[in-house]
Amino acid sequence: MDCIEVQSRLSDYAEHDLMEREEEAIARHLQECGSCAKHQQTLGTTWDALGELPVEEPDPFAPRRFFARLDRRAVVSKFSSGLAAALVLIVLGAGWFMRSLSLQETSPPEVSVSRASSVSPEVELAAFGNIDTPALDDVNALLEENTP
Amino acid sequence: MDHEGLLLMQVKHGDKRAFEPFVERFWKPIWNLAYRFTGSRAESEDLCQDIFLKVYLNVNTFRGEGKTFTWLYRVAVNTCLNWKRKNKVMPLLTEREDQPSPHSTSYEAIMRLELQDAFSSLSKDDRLLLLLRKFQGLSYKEIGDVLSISEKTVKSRLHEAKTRLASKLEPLLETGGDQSWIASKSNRA
Repeated sequence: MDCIEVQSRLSDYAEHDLMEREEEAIARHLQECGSCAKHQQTLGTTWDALGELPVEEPDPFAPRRFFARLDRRAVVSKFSSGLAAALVLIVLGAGWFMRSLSLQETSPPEVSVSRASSVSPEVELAAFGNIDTPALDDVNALLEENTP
Repeated sequence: MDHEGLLLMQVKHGDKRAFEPFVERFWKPIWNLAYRFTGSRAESEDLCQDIFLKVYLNVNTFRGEGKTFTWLYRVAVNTCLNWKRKNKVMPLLTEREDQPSPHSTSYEAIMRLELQDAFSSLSKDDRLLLLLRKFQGLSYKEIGDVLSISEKTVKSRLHEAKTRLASKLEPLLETGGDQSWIASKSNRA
């Protein structure tokens, strides 16, 4: 085994994750090669030092706080769904209301239907805006002609 | 399917109470991963909460194939990789003491600080690989399953990460506990 090959396997060597024959070959190489031995020592010491760092414990109440957050989220989610549904209804209702208003303001066919019965033609035709008197007179004359 | 997988399946089918024993079972290892990754107790709790919230919200994608902790760790690793620090504190393996202790001038104390600095200067990928192997005790295959890479790639990347970390500590290790060097470094502890 040459140095490059040995150094590429030093991690596995440190963790005893090699075949027996490979491990023996690396051990022999390390006895003879100062550079690889130094590399192996640095790697091994670093790896061991990582494992010697103090162990920390989480706050035992932390999971409780998490569940409280989860509950709040569920409440907010339900509230948001309800709010969204209410908003949709409001928008639909407002749309329907505006549409019905707009239909009332611009409904010429109904004018002609009701005109002959009870409401005076002047009032009804006023819904179309300012109408010149001659034109209104013409309409009145036409109505008189058609009235039995 | 393992016991934890059954719990997640119950959650998936509407039994939200089953999530509680699941969280209790995994809170400590996941918190430890988050803590070693962030180096801050406060931030590790936030990160840990985010991880379990993601698990809860994505439980529908859990199929119960393979080991449950692999699926959980996949969520945890992705959350760690996307995590953005709230405070401008360097990521450390453990939280540093505010006041230097009488022991902080020892070679071991300086070694610990140097190790923390070296670890924090590694990439997120390197840090996670080292954490999964050293602190979570996952096998190469399990790490491969979590990261969706082959066992061979795990070995190779892990070796590179270890080498990068070791090369940062090399100057310290070369002193071998030399007292004058320790004295020069002890002020920063």
